Amino acid sequence: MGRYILRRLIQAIPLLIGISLISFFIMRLTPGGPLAGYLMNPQVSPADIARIEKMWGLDQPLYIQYFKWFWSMLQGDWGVSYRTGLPVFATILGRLPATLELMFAAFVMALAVAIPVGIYSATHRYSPFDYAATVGAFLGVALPSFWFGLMMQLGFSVKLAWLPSAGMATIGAGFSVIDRLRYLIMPTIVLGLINMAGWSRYMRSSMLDAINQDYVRTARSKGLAEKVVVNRHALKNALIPVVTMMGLDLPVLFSGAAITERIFAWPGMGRLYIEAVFMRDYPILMGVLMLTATLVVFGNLVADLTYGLLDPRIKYQ
Amino acid sequence: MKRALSLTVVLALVLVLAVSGLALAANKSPKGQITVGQLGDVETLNPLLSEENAGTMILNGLFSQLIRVDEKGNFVPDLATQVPTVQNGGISKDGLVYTFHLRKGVKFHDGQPLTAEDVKFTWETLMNDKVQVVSRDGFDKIKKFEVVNPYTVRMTLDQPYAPFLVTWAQTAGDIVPKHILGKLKPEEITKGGDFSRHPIGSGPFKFKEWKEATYIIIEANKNYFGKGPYLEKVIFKVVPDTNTLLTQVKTGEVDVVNNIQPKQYVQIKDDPRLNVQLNPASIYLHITFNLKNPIFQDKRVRQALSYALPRDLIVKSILNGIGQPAAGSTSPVLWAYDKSIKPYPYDLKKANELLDEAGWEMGSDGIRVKDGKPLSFEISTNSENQTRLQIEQVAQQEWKKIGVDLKIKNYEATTLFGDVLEQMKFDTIMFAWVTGSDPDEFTLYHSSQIPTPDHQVGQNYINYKNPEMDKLLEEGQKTTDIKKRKEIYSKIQKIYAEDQPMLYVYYYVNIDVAPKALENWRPAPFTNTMTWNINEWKLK
Repeated sequence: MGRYILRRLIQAIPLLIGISLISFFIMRLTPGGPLAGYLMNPQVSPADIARIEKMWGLDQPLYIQYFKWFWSMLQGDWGVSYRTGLPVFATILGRLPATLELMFAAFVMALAVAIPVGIYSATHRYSPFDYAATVGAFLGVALPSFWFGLMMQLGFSVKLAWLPSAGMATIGAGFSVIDRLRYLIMPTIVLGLINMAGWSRYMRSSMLDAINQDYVRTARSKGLAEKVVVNRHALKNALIPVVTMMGLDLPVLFSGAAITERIFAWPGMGRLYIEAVFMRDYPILMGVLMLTATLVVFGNLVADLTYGLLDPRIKYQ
Repeated sequence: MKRALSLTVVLALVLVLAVSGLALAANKSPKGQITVGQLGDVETLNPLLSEENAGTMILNGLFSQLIRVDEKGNFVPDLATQVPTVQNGGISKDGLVYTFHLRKGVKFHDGQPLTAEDVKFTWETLMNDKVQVVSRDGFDKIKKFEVVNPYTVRMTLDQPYAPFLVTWAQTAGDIVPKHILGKLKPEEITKGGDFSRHPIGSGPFKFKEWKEATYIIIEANKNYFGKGPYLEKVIFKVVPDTNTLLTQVKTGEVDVVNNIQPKQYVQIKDDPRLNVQLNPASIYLHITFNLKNPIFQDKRVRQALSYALPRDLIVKSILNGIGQPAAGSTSPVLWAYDKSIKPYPYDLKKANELLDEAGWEMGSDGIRVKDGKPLSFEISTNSENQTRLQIEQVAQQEWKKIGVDLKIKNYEATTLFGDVLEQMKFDTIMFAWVTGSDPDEFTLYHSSQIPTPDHQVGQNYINYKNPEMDKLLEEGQKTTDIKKRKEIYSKIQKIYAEDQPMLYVYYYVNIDVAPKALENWRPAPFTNTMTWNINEWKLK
């Protein structure tokens, strides 16, 4: 098991280098650059632009820029943001907790709703609840988050005045869990909805598969209670494909977070990334890309390891 | 005896002054707080390196300038005791020497005095090649900078430059403390440096806290030399989404904003709690012709397209009436604006006549042809901007009626400005120019300002060459007498109205919002934004 993990981690290294190469060069292929904004500013002269280009090292050949970036990255120096002049690593680290908090909340909420709903729908197929869950799931997938977020804000903040419309905490008030939770509710629902809807469908079909298997029939014929049959025997096997989905959905959650963070003024990494894209803030872009890539590789590894826990037949060597 | 008496008198006077000084300080009992909503987080709070509106909004509170521009476009003194003019001797007759006298007793937030040395240091830093200053516009005209005495500075220009005063009334002209930044090496003065995160200025507010991507708080400086401040705290909050920003205004989570979209106006205009103002801005939307394209070299074609552009309809139906049809690039808020020049009326008949005259004959497919070539070209704009996309469609439909085939080819902003505009790879391009409080547009229209691949100067992306215009633009920069300047700019406006080097579409109108309880809130239309007099803001 330990060796398996080590092997996977070593395999990840060339993968990450490949990703860095591709992202770096594709990013530079896009026309326009970090200095584009200055071109339509009558107060910035072309001489000024040339001076800054030199300062940022953008006048050097691309491969040299890449090697310079790669070399400093290895030494733990992720560069400096063009926009703010602050170190990239510190900037990302500063934004990461907010994103993780939101992602974790959305993940837990989606999980807590999708799994029971999926199971119940499968065991009570074609019941009114099943139909309602199906309709709900389609709605959840179809709702655009920016619209859904706006409607939530209109309802709960403007009309009912129950929840703050955006932000992460009340400015000036000290830390309080209740305050933080009040700010967390709406973005969590908006971000979690898509996955919640999708996962409940996966759970349902995978559960349906499982309960028609021979071993489940055997369990039933042994006279076990239906509850035990479903929860002990069917569920574990039904979860495997769902866990794969969840692993694959991590990056989706990440990109979804960018939109949700924008709507709810959540100071996370997604927003940082989007703003950096518009500015062509290359150091920030590379930093975020590398970190997300690492997270995805890691997420897949965790998903693979979870199989082992769920299914004793799967062993890693 | 006599001497003793005078000494007593002096002492008494000193005492009275001191007491009144104390009374003055005691008068500053700022109260209440205001939350200003902004779409983006600030890059830096070092004014010399700041280059964005969101930064200026805050820096206006933290720093002082020699002079400022008020909401009417007039200069008002800030650190200077008066605005230099030829009459008061502040500007030499030949327009080359500018003298500023500073207020005495002004202190930075850390208690150190602000003197002429700080002003000189500010200029030197701006001009230092090792410091990442983006624009040196105006500052680079100074040939010699002298500290005459601790409260007087004298600047000598290399040639007369009438817009010079504006230089010191912009964010880059915020005076920074030499005793802090002077200790650093020039290359250590960066956007992310310590000073940029914990700025020390001499403005009505002191820096308190910055939470990345969330908010910046500034608090009252009770030792401020001028009027106010009357507010205890001002919070600048980052709300990146325009819809969310509007929601926050509705719920009262945000008090003051200047980023409300025209289509959102109806949702708040009747809110009894809010003071919603429509203020003309010094920004205009234009469609620039690339005169390298032979189609546009004939003035009549440009005029015809201008006649066939329904500006009133665009403002009414696309902007919900929040805008003003444009006659030229000088905005109506500028003193140089010539009212007698009207925007081209919507007149298809006239447009058709002009194209006929120019030799473009109507083809069987409804597209005009000349010398076998169809009257067909592209328009480009930044694809994120819905308003501009709608205007393109209006232009396409309307110009079709006069036999023009307009093709729409849009790009994302960075590509549009960084590539298409820079390399002049467009037929026509639509975006907005922001002008300051001075009417000078030398870099847009002067023939020396046409950028070429190996000689990147200016923003004359039109390729406009007109000797008469060149002469007037040069004169406009050299003439200090405002009456004479007004005549010059009036002539300039007449030339481009006739010539239509670009199609002027509309002047922007800002939607500015504040609570009714906020007094002395007078948004300025210029790039110095609404916080130019934040020291006077007061809650009822």
